[in-house]
Amino acid sequence: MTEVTISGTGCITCLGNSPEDLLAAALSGQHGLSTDPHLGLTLGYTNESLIPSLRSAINDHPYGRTLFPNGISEDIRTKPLVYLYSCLLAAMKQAQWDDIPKDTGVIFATTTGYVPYWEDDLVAFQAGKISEQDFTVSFQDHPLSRPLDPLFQGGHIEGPLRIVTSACAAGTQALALAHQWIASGKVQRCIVAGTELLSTLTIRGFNSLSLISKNPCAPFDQNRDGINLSEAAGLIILERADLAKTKIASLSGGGMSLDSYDMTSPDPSGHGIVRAIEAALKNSSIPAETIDWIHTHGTGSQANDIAEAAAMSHIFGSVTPPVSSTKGLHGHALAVSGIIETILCIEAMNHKTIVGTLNHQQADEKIKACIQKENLAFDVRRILKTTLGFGGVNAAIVLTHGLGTN
Amino acid sequence: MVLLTQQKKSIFVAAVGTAKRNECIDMDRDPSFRKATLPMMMAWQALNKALKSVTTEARSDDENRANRKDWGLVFGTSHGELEVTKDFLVTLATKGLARPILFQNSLHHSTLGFISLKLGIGGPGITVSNHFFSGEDAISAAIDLIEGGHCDVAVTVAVDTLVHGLEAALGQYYPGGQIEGEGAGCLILANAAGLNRLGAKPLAAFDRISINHQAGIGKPKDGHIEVSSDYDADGLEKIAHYLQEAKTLQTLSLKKPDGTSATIQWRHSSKERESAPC
Repeated sequence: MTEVTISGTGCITCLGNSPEDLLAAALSGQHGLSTDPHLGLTLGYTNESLIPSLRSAINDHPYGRTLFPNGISEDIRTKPLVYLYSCLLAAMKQAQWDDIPKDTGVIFATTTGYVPYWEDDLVAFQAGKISEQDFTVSFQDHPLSRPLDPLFQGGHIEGPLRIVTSACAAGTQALALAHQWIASGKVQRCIVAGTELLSTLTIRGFNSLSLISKNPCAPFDQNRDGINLSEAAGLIILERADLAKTKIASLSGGGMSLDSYDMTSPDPSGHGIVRAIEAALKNSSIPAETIDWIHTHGTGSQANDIAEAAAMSHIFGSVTPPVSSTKGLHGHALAVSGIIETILCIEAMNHKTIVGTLNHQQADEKIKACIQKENLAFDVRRILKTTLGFGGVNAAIVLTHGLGTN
Repeated sequence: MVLLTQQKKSIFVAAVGTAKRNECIDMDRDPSFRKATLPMMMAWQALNKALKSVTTEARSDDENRANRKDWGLVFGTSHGELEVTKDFLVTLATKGLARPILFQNSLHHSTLGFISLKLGIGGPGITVSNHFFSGEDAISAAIDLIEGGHCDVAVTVAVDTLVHGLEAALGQYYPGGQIEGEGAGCLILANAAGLNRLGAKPLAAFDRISINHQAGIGKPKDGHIEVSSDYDADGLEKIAHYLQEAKTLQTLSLKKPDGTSATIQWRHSSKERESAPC
């Protein structure tokens, strides 16, 4: 089977602007969440004061100038572009790419796209407070593919493009699909990326479902009371192993499933998640008993954690590998969660650490899986990463250790 | 030229269906559609037509739910649930009410969740949203699922709907004066094993789907039709239409509003019917 190497990563989260920042926060147990004084909800915002320097770095970079001959403007609406292309340039540097090979594929994950920049104007337009012309301008970035235009409309990439918007599972699905594209020979290299920004729609929407906590989330804990939404961008470069100049991990395979149970709540039996995990293990040709660490979706909601823990017990029996969630550090970045958590898994694996579950004190009595509370020094070789989403969508991938250079 | 999909093994079209808004009138009298959005209803109408043309486990009745547990499901849309998103935001702004049902239906992905619940589909499920190519990309994603061994049968649906009051904003990507349309299309795709399970004879087999980001699509040849898109995710509906209506067609070029195009090639049904496993 074709080996798929992960050769570069980049991310921007509420914990900082690099994978190293993500790992440092995980090792120190320092979260990046804050409580919104108006809403009384705990959320994870990125540090917007760093945007000007990130923008300048793109505009000054040789490949950045290729993509943006006129530079990225200082309009705040360019925030998704600044985040995405900062991640791209960081990942390219790690992968030792001077430019992007033209036949590279791209799979992009997002649910909201530019929603934060047109939702207020939509309401104002409906109320007759702004003109149709003004709203039309505001709405021009509505297509979810918009952030990729500099790559594709500029002709810099001619490989396939897919925009995955399967709710919160989109990022992990994107990785599973990228593995398939490379393993099947459809492409030799693939970029998996995503951006997700906080908006009125998502904050007030999730809150209407009574899902957002006032406190930093406590996944799998008996006293957990909800999730923390966050914003983030993440990007991972995957290559056929024999072509990669750098190797930071391998992606061994992936699997997907649907619960067919409820529009928003996962099947509490965990059977849908089980099917995704079994598919990922089979696709990876990796036996369940060789998994060292299970990095879960672990949002801290009542329903998610019960379902996911049940699935782990079903697959692994009464003694599971260490099961953890890192949502207490970086919050839940919706479609991008699978990407930034995969990056954290890789960083932790290469640091020989299993990252524990921040804020977890005592497991829910219904949860039988072995929840890893503290960070644990361990030579991790294989990680199972799971993600769930609205619409009953589940995805799982298997990551394998493999630091080195070709 | 971006090659989205080129098959190594045959991926068959087992059934097709299309739908328009006027077919959804009064659907909400059925309790199971009371909370459904227009894209969900249109998707269901297109899907149901496709399902009715194949036999046994494909039918949408409850007795066959277990048989569909390992099917795949792909949904393509550009605008997603914009009407519901608008309703959520306006209700919040004017009444201070954040209505949960509007939020849960506001995701692009909501229609896929709705269909999976209605049919009991438990295999892989992906929602794609690739602007003008949302329909073509849905087909490509479904082919990926089958070729990757994730499923033998993949239901593929694409829908986009107009949103009252936002016609100008949505139509800004279209040439001057053209009003964007709406519609739904469904293809049921399967490999040889999937066809056997469906008890279906194939309409056609896909060869390749490609996207041309340069303007212009060349001179039409015999068996090669070029048509203009009239809504973002219409690629799937157009393909479904020509598979039903133009039996000799082998290549379809869809000219997009920005001058780009998609080209879809398939093999004629009669040859596939002769060589089909059932």
